[in-house]
Amino acid sequence: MKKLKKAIVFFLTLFVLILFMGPFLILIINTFKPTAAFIKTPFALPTKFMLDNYSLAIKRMNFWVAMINTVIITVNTVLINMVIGSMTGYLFARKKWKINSIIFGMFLAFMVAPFQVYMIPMVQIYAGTFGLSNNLFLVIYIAVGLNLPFAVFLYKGFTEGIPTQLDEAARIDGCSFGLTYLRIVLPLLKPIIVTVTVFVALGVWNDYLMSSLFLTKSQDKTLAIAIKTFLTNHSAEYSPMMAGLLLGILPIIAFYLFGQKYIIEGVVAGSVKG
Amino acid sequence: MMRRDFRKRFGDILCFAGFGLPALVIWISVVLIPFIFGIWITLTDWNGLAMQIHFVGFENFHDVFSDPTMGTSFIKTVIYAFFTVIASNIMGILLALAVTSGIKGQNLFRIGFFTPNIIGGIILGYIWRFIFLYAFTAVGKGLEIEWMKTSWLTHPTRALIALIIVSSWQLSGYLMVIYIAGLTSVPKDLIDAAYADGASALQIVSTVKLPLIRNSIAICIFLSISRAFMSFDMNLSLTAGGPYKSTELIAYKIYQTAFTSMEFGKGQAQAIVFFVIVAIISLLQVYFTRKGVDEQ
Repeated sequence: MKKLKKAIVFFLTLFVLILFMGPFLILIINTFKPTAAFIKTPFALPTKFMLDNYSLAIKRMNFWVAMINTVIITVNTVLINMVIGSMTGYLFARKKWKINSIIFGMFLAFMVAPFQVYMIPMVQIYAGTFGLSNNLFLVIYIAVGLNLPFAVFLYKGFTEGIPTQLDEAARIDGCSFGLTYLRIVLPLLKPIIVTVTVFVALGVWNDYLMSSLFLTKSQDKTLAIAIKTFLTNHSAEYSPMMAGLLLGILPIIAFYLFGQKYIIEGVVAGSVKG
Repeated sequence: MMRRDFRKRFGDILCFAGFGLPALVIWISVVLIPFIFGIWITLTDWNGLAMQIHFVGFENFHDVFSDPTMGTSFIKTVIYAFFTVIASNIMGILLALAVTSGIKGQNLFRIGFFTPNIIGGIILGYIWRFIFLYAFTAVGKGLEIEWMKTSWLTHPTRALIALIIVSSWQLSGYLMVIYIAGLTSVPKDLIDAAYADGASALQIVSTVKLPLIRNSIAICIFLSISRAFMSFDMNLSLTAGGPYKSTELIAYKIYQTAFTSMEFGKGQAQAIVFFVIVAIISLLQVYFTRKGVDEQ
């Protein structure tokens, strides 16, 4: 009886999962078919393995350039955010100065504000006054800044859980504040670094709104922007468009298969704590 | 003594300069200055291009509150959020219950249901756009179902429903993970005791499991409310506010005012109003989830 119930639950869940994955499955099969075949029979399996749609999508989206830009932005944002965020988190956790708690409080208070509040003035200041449009570094800088409060919050909380005796022992051995951070604290931060990295990396990789405000030239576009441009500016190339969408997903899926455990934890822990 | 004091102070300043200043400088330039500058923009008639900028006082805010399209956009967002929150939370709980019921391949199910959350909203919206435009209509034509023959995205109410479906589809896998964490912390002996007393599976869910995860429920409800209110990417790619501007949710509306109509002052005023709404939701969230923790 109990076994039967479990079997029913299993097949029901499996059925829901297949429905859930339906859009992806339909997407995949149609990237191998000509557009006319997709419109006529969207559910039919492809009759032959053709990659024309992919080569067209790669050309139209300037895929490799977009991919490299996205990697540059994501990797740099994550690294800079990690270094600065963990250092500040360490400072705030260990030095209970008034100025530190004021800054920390301000960081937290402004975390509530949605990006829409910043976008118009940001365009004015950075694209307008400073003329920094189409500058990957600007996008990295802004992404680091927007993600800093959250990172500092998590690093500070985690550092407070590391016994101060460890710091003191290092101090006796002649380590300065900075060296203690580098030799003692930083290696212990590994689990929280993974969490923050996953959260920030996915957010930056998938970001459209912020980067699209500054990156408009073809050679500076990220994947999300390149896909958006391809799908709005071309008409009736449906199958190549779907191939483009799939190309946009593949890099993340590859990551997901490797580190799904950390990714699920990171994404959820990140927003529940934040 | 004086000398040592001075040296300590100097050391502290160096310490702050090295560890705190970089973050502070970046944050001030990326968050604080745009925020303050943004408030100034709301008081002007700036369109982003004009050389002459006039001070107009609170006129932009007056425009926001007297603009009927802003009101419609707000109501649409509330309706969208309401149904998305309910649908995604019910789905999330059901998926979490199924995945923690001891069936085979639990982890694979978890990975599968979570997948939409690692992909950007722009891409997800476009995938579903193809589904709604061609796959659904093909089913409708094949099975002679009247309301599925034409695309949902060309019909105002159905386009909003489409948006709700896709958002709930994405969000439910996300909420599922939080609910799983709640459910796995329910003590096993409580469930065994209920079984021993002859409770059915349904009774165990409703009288043991659900009351014990009410903290997770509170977290998930607020999380989904704020996610729904901030929804932008999917709105842009799935419906692009259409048909006839019928699905312009607040975040999208602000974007349109600012970068399509080029009304920076008005757009920024809308953004500030939006900020206040989101801030209120967050404060309620802090209030209610803290209270939940205290009760336990």
